[in-house]
Amino acid sequence: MARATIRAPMRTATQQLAVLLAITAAACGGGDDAGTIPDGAPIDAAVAPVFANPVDLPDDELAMVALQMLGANVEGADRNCNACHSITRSRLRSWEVLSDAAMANCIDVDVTDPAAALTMAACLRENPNDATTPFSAGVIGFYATAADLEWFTYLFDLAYAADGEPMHADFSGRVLMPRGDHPSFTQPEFDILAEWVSRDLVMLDDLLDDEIVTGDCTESISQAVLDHVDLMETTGWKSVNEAASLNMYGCAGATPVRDCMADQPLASTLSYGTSWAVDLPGSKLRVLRENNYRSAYWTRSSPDGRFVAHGGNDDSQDGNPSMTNYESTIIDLVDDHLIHTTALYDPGFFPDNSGWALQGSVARICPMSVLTAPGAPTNFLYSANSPPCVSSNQIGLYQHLGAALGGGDHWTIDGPFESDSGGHQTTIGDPEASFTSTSRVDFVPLEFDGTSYSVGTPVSYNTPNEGDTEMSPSTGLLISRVSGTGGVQNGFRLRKFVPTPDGGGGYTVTADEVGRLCFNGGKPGFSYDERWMAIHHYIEDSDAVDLGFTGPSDPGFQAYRSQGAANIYLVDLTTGEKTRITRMNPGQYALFPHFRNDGWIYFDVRNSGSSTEYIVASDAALLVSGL
Amino acid sequence: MRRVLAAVVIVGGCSDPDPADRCEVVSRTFALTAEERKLVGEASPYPADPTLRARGDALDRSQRLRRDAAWDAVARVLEPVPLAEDLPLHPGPETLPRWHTWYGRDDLTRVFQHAFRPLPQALRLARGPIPDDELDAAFAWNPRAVEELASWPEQRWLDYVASLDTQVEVDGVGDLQRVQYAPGAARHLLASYSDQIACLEGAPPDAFVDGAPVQPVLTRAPVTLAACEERVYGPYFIATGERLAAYANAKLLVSRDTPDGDVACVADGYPCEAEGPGTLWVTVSADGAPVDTELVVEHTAPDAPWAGCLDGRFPTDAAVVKADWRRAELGREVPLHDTSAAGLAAIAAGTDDGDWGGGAGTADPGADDIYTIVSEGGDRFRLVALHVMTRELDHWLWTTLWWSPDPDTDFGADRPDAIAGVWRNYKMCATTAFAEGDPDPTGGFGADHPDLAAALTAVHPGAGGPSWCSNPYLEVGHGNASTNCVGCHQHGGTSLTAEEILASPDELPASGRLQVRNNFPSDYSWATTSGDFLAQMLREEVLYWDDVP
Repeated sequence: MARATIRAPMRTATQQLAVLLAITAAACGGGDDAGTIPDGAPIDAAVAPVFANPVDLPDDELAMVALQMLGANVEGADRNCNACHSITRSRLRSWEVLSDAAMANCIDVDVTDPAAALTMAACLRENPNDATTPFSAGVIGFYATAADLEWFTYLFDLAYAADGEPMHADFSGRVLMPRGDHPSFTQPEFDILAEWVSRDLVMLDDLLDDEIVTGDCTESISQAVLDHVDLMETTGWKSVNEAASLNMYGCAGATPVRDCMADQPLASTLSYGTSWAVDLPGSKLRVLRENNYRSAYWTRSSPDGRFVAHGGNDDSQDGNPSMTNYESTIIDLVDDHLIHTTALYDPGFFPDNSGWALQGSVARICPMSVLTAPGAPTNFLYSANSPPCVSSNQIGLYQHLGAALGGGDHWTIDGPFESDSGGHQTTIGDPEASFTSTSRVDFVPLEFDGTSYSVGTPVSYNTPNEGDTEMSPSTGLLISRVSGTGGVQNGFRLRKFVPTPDGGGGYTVTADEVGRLCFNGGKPGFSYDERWMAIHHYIEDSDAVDLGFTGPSDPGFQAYRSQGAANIYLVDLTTGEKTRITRMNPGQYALFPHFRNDGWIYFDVRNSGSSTEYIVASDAALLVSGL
Repeated sequence: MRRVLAAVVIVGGCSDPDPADRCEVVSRTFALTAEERKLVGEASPYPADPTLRARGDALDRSQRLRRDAAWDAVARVLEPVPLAEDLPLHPGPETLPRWHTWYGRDDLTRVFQHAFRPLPQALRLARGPIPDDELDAAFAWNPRAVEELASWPEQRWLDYVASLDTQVEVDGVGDLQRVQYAPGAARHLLASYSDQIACLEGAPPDAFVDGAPVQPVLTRAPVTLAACEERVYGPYFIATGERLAAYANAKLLVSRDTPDGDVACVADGYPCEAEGPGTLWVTVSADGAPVDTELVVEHTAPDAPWAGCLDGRFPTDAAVVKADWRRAELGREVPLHDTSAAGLAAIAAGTDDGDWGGGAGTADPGADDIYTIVSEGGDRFRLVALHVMTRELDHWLWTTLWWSPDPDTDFGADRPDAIAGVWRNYKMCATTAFAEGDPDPTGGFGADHPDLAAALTAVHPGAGGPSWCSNPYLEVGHGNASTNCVGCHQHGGTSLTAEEILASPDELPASGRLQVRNNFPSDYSWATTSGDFLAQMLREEVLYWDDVP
């Protein structure tokens, strides 16, 4: 049984790396050299700083240092990018492709013309032709590590003049890697990385072993899962919230619970949703809201179902439409108004409905009272000192929140992940699952001291070949996507999370496997009684028969193959049985399902190539439960 | 297994004296839970002393009498009260201190929902009063609420009761509330739901509320000043069309709003008059020679509603406690604060100017030395401090307790023997008024309790100066060691925060200790717009049911 260890403070670079950096810095002047002034140029013409200094190192030394800096599974590596990304050969090569494309199509390191700089800056957006789309690390690959260095600062100052600083801050806030409490690369460090990219990642295959992962999966639900579900039936957050008389959105006067939100239209009555519920007769899909903007990454809602949050916004609150300040949105379904916040994405709500969290440059945690006070804001600006919210750089990206029952400490969890924000364009198949054998998750305790919660010492736990790990509301269960052959997902793994005070002011944790599910999908959401899980799954050829076609070559299935789609599945954790609860049309993506306290499921529907999305509620779990 | 539901409500790290060290989220505990309430039964009413109000002036003028009254109030709130249910496996007394039986936010939410939901829609929409008998019935139903929960079958209840076999677990039944309300306070808050919502959706009354003039009041006060000394009197609230007239055989200055506010009039040996409406202060000063005179002030105040955001004042048996619990695990110990004369002098002289700071040294007291509870999850907590406010006086009796490893010194020296058990390890201070009326800095304790006398002297502001009582655990942050409870609480029901009050020396001088209001929107309670945010809870509940017939 693997035991976690208290995570040591971030190690500094190895001695070898330190020496090499000293050598390169001395040789290259640390990036302070300015380019020569072109002949004939005006005296006050812009002068581009160095983007990356050449590094004169042998291939093997260069590659090793670069791999160490990235956190690859090589001797002497620091934990860095691998905290969130599995550093595999294929991952690195994909980043190389992005970096090369950026250099070929976007970046001219010698730019001096403001108009050209403006075009280059636009090129760094998710959609270069749409100034309302955010800057994206996915556009520049490895060069995201230079976002805070002098060259990019120069680029934005040249492009935007007086707005250069805030525009660069917007860019850097979204793009800079690594994130969280990992220190940014210095110029000498970036020089090494850039040199390695320029040499086409030389020696990568020689130094980084490609991991062999099997596609074997044996489905199992252990007695531990059954015991847990049985216990949660009476002691879980669903029961606790019901005992606390949590008022559920849309349920005032509604009996039974399946009659909640009866004033919201059924999808079957809307032109775009007529077929959504046909494969689960008797189920209701209610469209709670139509959004006119594109959400970013996942959507999550408050336990009472009143607030829905996600990255992305409608830009209506930004003074400068090209400058996306308010990056995320919290929707209040009661009065149908949007609250724009200056966080980025990755929402989470505490299971007792007391607060929420969103990610930005750091994690922001706020009380629910901010949203429910009279005259609730339409804008919410986070700042370094913006009570009643607090910030934490200890909580990494892809964080999930859980609150232990019985007055126990709260926990957050984060670890390696695959970005999943499909559906804006055609998306075929679930995201990769290339998690290495060195994958691990970080548990961060929010320790209750009797008056307040304080972020405690993070605890790491090895979860080889797993990622996209999420935590159940009670913290008792964890669910991860498992790597398979060739980076294809190989189902899910359930773990039982048990923290134990270590007598020294912190915790040790165990997270033994208690279940294995042999189907694929993404972004699981646990129900509050922790009996159910909901996932989304991007349609691929293997789904044709389940959708009623003869096979992938069936003419009726071709639209799915060309336009893609995603459906929601309900999973009974006591049996492992899964039920598809939606039937989306080609080009429609039902994503990010999650439960509210009473068992209704919320999810987001994206339309490929469109900025129109829907927030939808499903009573599938209630129907299947017999309620 | 017992249940403690801890919710995270982030109020920010403002009260953390060193926010850079910790990223804090302040929690709000929602309890007592339904099962705990069944065990405890209805909250034990606070047995107020009805004679105290008549002695209010005497308490204001005597620290000894004030402390005697406060210790008596402490004894009343600490009195053991039997639980409503038997605990078959617990060998000892099945009691809780009276205050620990009182209602928490969860109770108030449950009771209000039970009383409000069945009301006719027209009454609900009109925010009409809940009939008295229905509100009483809801409080009586509250201990049985758990019996209606499907998640609490009989066996689970029996298992829960059987699990309570240690004293700390029994004490934990009272839960980890930050604030608990005696029945008199709780009932008044719920009965005032429409007033609270109206203030929340509108605005609370201003600090000065005008109104029809009441009978003129003439006051006389002897004034003895050394050369170059001055003394401030007030505030005097003046109605529209009325005036204040002050006379003394000395220099007089009448100012508006604060003692350092705009000058309304000056005089030297003749009357000084100023017109209303508004708040006026009178400063008597001596020049190069001492002054021995009498200040005569005649003024006519407005008839202003006392508590505009409640249905009148709290009843005499209203009481509220605020607890400071500290985790007894994960390497956490109790920080220690020096409340001796020397310690208080050091606080006042420190660079943080009135900040208790994080303490000097720590202790790890066990359950025999400090009130200790164990939560359902097995987490152990210690009670390091307890505010006690009781409505026996016009401006409440403010008492506060804090744990000490040397409990019989300074503020614990005069503790009566009737305070027993772990409670013998708590010290106490108390206030009854904005101004210190006892001219003796020692409070008369010089002979029998000299270290108490010295400590009181260290914080004595001079007769008529702003009073003092500050709890080193509960009053954190810049300036909070120089407060008196009543000064901040006069703003209860407004949107002001403690930090804003302490950071506004011009508008709210002397760390907010002076009276600046002639009305008190929620009768000195912060519960409506801060802490438990009761007004917001009530509003959400009311709005939720608006559309239901």
